[in-house]
Amino acid sequence: MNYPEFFGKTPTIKLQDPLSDFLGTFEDGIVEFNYLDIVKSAGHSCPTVSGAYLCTVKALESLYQDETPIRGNIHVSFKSNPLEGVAGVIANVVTQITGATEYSGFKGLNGKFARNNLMNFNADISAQMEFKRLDTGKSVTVNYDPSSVGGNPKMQELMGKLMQGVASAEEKKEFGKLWQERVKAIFNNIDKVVMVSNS
Amino acid sequence: MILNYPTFFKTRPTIKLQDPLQKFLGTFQDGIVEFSYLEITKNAGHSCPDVTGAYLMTLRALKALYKEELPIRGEIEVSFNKDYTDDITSVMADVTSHITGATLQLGFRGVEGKFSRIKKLKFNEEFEGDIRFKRLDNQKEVIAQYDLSSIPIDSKQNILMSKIISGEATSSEEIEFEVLWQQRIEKIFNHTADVIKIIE
Repeated sequence: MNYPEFFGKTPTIKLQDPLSDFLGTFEDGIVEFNYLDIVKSAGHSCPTVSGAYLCTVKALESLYQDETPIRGNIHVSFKSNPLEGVAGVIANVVTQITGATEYSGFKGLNGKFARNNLMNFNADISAQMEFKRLDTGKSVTVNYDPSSVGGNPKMQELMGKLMQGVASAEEKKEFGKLWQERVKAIFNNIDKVVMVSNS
Repeated sequence: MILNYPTFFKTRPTIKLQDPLQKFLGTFQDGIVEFSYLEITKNAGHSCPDVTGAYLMTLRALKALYKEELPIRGEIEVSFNKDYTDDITSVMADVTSHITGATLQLGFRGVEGKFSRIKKLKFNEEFEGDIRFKRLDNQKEVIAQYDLSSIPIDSKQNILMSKIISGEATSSEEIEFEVLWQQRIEKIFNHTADVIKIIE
């Protein structure tokens, strides 16, 4: 598979998954996700997918500091309606990393290892998302705003041409390149675009 | 870092697809993506007969639907005959969603009517079998059936599992259980033709 070089240089997320440990899937349950894993599953790399990835990275860092985050021990709330806009895209990224789902996923064994009921939408929270550790009750809120990282103005024009089916092969390629350059710029400005606060 | 996992995870067939949205947004050259069993288990949080079954049914069904062509992500509808709240169904649905891109309601909603990934995972559909896969470009469909009765469970596995759950297992018993559990998964992979039937 050929993909933009920066995918391999973005921060990875290491977690411990007690269910993977129990079933002998990964030694000590240690798993690691990178941006490439997420992009393949999401079907694309865009400011929404990279934002959801970075929000999860920063929220878990803040909640766990030097400890390894535990999959299945993290509850995630969203202010948004899952049926509108990009909420579902964001939720899928967060699910892939934390294991948290609303209805889907493993339902547990003797009250352990369940992955459902760990996500909710339309939440009454002061930010876009809230991540909560179920063991300590500690939670953080997260906001994402990539507006300070502008894209090349040519993108809009090229996208219009692509959607009308009048773009040349070169223009299609150029659009993809400019699009991924913006995503890369978002990764290079993590602290400007992701705001984490204790809640 | 290097993750440690059973060696057979690496030697299983991968699933290669073409994703038009990836191509559009310059993510993968020509939109070509490939999934492995390892990635699926990372996301599922475990490797078990349900995860394996869903992986193998998807692999075989896509082969039957697309033959030598590359399957197209976002153009495949996946149906189950139970509700999405059913345990095994939802674990299997998550695996098929990861590979085909199909989602019930969470997922990309499309740009000007293109590239949508929602409403492509269906539940409570009426059909005999485990998972139905349909190509949305030519309406061709196949049903996958998964039957593990030919792959017996080592009698020790269940005894060890109860011990672990009741907190009475030693650490060597925990490891023995893990080995037996994954050995059965490896056997399922090695007997794909016996456990998976594709009905065209």
